[in-house]
Amino acid sequence: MALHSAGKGKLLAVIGDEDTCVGFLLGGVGEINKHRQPNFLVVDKNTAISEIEDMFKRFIKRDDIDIILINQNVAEMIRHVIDSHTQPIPSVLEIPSKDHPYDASKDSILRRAKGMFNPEDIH
Amino acid sequence: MSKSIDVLSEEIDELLLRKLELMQEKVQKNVQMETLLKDGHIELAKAKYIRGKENISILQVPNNEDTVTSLFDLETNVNDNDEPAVCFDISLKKSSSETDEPKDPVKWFGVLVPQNLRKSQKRFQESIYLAVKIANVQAELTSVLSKLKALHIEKDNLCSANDVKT
Repeated sequence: MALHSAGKGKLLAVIGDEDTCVGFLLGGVGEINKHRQPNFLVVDKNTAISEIEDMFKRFIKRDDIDIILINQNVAEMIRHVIDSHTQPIPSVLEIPSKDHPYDASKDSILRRAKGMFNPEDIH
Repeated sequence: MSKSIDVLSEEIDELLLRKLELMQEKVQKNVQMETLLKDGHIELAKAKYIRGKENISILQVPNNEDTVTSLFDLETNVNDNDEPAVCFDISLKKSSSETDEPKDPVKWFGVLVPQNLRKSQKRFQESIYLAVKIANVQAELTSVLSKLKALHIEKDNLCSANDVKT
C-alpha cells in the first residue's frame, strides 16, 4: 500500500449508468480535479468494456479515491479486474442499479468469503 | 510451536463466527442500500417527468473543476495492529470561508427545481453514508479472511508436524 495512505479529504468514485451517476453527483460526491479528471464514469450501451476497465484501473491508482461505487451489472462486465483487486484501499462496493437488483451471490467479497468454507466452490 | 491445536481451532471458530456475522451484516446493509437507491431513482424519475428528461441528465453536470467539487470529506484511518485494519469515516465538508463555499449540485438543474429532485438528493446522500458503513464492514471482513487464512496454514503445519512425530 505504497500509494494509499491514511488521510482526510478523500473521494468516492462512481461507475454506473446515467441515473446512478446523476443521483450520486446530485448527492454531492462529484469532483473534477485540476487535470480535469472526473471521479465518475457514465456507462451506457455504447461504452466499450476496455474503457470501463481502464477507468477502473485509473481510479485504483489515484491516491485521492478511497471508495469506488460500481453498479453490479457493470461490475459483472469487468469481473476479472475486480476479483484481482485485493487491496483494502480503495474499497470496491457493488451497488444495485435501476434495472438490475442486487445479487449477493455475485458480489466479489462475499464470493471470496464463501469460497473459504469449501475450496471446491470457488468458480 | 507456541500454540496447541486446540487453541488454534478455537481461534479459527471465533473468526468463522465473526465472518458469518459480517457477511450477514453486509447483505442486510446492501438490501437497505437497494431500498434507498430505489427511492432515489423514483424521485429522480418524478423530477424528470416534471422538468422533461433532457433537463435532468448528465449533460447538465458542468465540466469545469471549479463548479464540481465534492461536498463530502472522506477520512481513512489505517492502523496496522488493531482489529479492523482500515476504517472509513465521512462527514460534510466544512466551508472555510463564504467565498469558496461548495455549491449545492441541485443548482446545476435550474433555480426553481421540483421538490422531488431535493428528495432524491437526500436519498442519495443517505445512501452515501450507508456506503461508507458497508465499506467498513467489507474492510473488517477482508481482514478476518486474511487472518483465517493465516491460521489455517498454521494449523496445517502443526498437524503435519505432529504426523511426522507419531
